[in-house]
Amino acid sequence: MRLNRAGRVLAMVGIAGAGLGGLWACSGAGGASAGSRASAQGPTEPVGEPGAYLADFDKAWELVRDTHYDTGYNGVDWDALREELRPRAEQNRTLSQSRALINEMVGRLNQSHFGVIPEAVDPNAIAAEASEQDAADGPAEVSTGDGAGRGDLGLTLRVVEGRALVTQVRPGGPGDDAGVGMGWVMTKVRDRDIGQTIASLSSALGDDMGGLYVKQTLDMVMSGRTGSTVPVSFLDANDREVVLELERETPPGQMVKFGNLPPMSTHLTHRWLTPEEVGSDETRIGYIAFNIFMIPIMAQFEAAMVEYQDADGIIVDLRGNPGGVGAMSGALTRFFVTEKSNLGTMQMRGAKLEFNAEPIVVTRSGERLAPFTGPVAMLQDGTSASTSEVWAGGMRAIERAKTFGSPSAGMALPAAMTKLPSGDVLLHAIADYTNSDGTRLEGDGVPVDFSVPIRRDDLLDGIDAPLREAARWIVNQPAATTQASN
Amino acid sequence: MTLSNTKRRLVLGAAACLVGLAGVASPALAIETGVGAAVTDDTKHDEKALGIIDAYIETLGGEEMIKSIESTKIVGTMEIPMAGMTGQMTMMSKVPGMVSMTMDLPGFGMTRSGFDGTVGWSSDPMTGPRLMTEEEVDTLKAQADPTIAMKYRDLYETIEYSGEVNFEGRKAHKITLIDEDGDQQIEFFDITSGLMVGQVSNQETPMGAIEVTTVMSEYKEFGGMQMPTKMVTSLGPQKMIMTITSAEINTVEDDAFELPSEIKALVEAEKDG
Repeated sequence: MRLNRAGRVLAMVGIAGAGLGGLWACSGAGGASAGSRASAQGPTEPVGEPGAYLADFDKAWELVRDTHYDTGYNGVDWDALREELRPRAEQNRTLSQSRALINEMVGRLNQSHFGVIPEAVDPNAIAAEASEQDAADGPAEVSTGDGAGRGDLGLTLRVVEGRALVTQVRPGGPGDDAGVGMGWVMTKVRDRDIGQTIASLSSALGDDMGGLYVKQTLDMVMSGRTGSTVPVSFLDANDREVVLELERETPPGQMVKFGNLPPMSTHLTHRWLTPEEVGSDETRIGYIAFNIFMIPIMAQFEAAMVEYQDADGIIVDLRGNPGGVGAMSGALTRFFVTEKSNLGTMQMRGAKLEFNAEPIVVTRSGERLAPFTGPVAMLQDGTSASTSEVWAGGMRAIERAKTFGSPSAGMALPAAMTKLPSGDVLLHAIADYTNSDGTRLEGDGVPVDFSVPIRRDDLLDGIDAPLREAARWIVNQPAATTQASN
Repeated sequence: MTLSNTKRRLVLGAAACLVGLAGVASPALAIETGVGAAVTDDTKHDEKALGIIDAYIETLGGEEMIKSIESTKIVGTMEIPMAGMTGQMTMMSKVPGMVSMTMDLPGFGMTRSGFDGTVGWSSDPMTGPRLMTEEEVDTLKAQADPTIAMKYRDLYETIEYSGEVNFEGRKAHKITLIDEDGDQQIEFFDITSGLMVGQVSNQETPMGAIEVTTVMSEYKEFGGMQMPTKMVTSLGPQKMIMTITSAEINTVEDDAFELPSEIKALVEAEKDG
């Protein structure tokens, strides 16, 4: 066996999952999490003998002991923690109890990318947790964790000044069809008071209301069985209460199963910005957004880059993107550099990997494609995590992109996903990551070159402010001016 | 290509070569890698270490048998437990130094790579078509040589016997190979069987130089040659387990190494600058 190939494959796929933990289980940032909800199995959960899931606890503890990149465990006495918590593990009789205890244990590390991913992430269980009434609608036809039964409302929410603002409306989605507009305030989903949900989250998370956990919680509140309907209350542009009966639909995208991670829907959109969005008739800007860093995205991204090779600028939207396969950051950078570039370093215990990018020469079908040399803007916010941060931070460090919006999540530890004896998966960070300029991403995240706050007035005017600012910046770049005049 | 360069790339022992790229033994390859230009000087090496290596070659099947192999096709599985991924792999090699490899990992897709005697290349769903660097090609060509262990005397400045150690639960001879730049490769040989059971080496990859540890086990005979059918490769805390399920000797034709169309296009584009 060519061992260099083995090493390369490990390098490519071994860091997968970074940033995805937040979708199912993240305990590192404290407070209510998607994971704690996803782990709930309801009153019918089997009850075993005391210590029934002790093996999971022991395995989780050992994995962190053996693979955490920091042998000081971020200041936690790992041996002492085991002594403290194991007696409880010996008494636990349900899987939910076991998951909660493991999440508590890894939560003490106070780092991202630690948590239990339940063996079967049942969309119905998640939806039921979010809305008990929806559970009464009956089980989805598909509930085996393949994700096919989970629907959404086609709305993106962000908490601004204590309210859940609609910041994006998916064209043709349930919200769009019902006339929901940007800037509307969501107040209720069936009987769930969104204001109370936000207050509850705020008490746990403090001022950090723009982050991934809040987004995931709101997403779950809106999600449910595809085809099910739910009454949703809004304040419209005139602050009048509007109640709409919305039917959930399966979000667009391709389902993908990657290793021990649950199935995920991958979705990329790209388009030319309109002259109104650009603020100029002469500058042509390509816009690309995708929801997750998974392999199917690569071919779609390449197709977009082929279309935009003569653009005056490109905007990549990483808002709401929780990350994915870390090495994709280097692969995507190929489209934007003319010489070999280093984005940063992933430091494991006993090994390190450089995230390098070589300029693209031909597409995967063999067509010639030169790297794009025009200005690149990346949109990000507190919901841009992990590989999103690796890429945006790296592109910024090599001065190949400017960032717009607000600082990223600061959840950027490359992680592995290891099966526990019960079949659950432990997401556990195995590396630290630093940009090529030496900045560490975990904690602080990627700063923005242009801070653009979300304002309701902008949204009500149909303005995506970070997108507008990025477009304006591109319009004012000398290269763009030159290309536009040619 | 200088001899020192060749030495740096010879990161695999013969056992690993036999599994991955067995059968690429030919004078042409030896000349290509500069191996044949070296002058043997046994006095600079440890005699006991040389004896262990010679015994290892004999245990594999013997020098003449190894040299008689012109091609191999090896099929197996690969597993990455910390990612929960299991896939299929096929590796082929043929004199003089042609190599082809495919790996199919669900959720990742098909990764292909090869060397047709002129061009070293790879193509995967993430990076797309790519030409290997000169260093990677050097590594590939050198690793394609199952007679590597026979050439240790020439390739390394010093071959040291580093004692009897416990390696992965078994007693093993530890041998340290040091090239003229001072770079080291460590190999472990089972005291009882004489077979190589482990290796610690530095490898050049697109993600930088990495130190990889490999544990080899479960040797089986294929076409008269012993091959390890299980290899566990570690990179930091991550492991990849490769299991060989079948091996064919001298059945591979030249067209198995033909460049894919996208690689041909890439080569043309590189020529045009």
